[in-house]
Amino acid sequence: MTDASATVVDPESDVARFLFTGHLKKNRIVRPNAFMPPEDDLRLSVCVRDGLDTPAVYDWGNAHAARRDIERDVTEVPRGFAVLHVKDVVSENLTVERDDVPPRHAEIGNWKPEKEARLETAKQLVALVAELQVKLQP
Amino acid sequence: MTACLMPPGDVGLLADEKSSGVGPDAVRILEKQRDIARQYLTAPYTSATLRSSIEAVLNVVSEAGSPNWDAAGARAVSSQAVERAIRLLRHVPATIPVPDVFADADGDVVLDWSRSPRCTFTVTVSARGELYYAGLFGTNRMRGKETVFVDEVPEAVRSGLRRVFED
Repeated sequence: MTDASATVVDPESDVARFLFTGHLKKNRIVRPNAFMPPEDDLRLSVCVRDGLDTPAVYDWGNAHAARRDIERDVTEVPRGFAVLHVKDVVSENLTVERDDVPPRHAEIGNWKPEKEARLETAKQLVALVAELQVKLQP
Repeated sequence: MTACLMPPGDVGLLADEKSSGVGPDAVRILEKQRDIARQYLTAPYTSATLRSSIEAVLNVVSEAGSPNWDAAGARAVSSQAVERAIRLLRHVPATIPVPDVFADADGDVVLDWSRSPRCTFTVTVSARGELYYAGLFGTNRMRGKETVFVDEVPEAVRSGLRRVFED
């Protein structure tokens, strides 16, 4: 459900989707699951990238997008991020709305509930990635 | 066709001998890996491509076999999805390369064949046996769902694979 205070992100803006280990193949190939929302929560979190250089995007991701498994006491910081032009996202009949919780946080919404439709859209978003940054691992 | 008959004792080479996980979930995952390896990888006439594909599925069982495996609430990959994915792979022509195999947040097994971001076909196998597929072929796109998968590759899936590797 969209927060009533969320605002539509300018189509000329860019957003960054943070990538974790399972989202990447051979360090440089983005898998469609990086852009696939789960069936019980059809929203995809992103960061509005405008005005942030690469280190600043990583800092945002480390602070706000890190994945924490409390039970196993494991924290995984993003391995990288993929940048999308908002106008490209919107061309897929998706919405990009910013709630700034935390600041710069936005969500890609309006996904179709059918899994095959979400899969197709996710694959299209992979093809539309405008910039890919990945920390190389040994 | 490559004949491959492996002594049962060597099954351990293809499934983890030990798991870094703890608890009953980890034990169950390890047993499932060994079952799969014993059943499929010791059979005669298992092509190298199929062996590699099944090994890729086993890796997914290791990585995504527990709830919240991604620390973002993902469901554990289900044993039914794993078995159905292997059943599908057994019927994919041996000329089709080994797919990239991974799990999604719903606990389904994803098989991805890609030559580029715009020449790509993906099949998701659910625990219920449904196949969700989507492909990008240049500016063309396809998607669909097969609700019943018996022991043959649905024509739509065959078509998607042909478009990636033969066009």
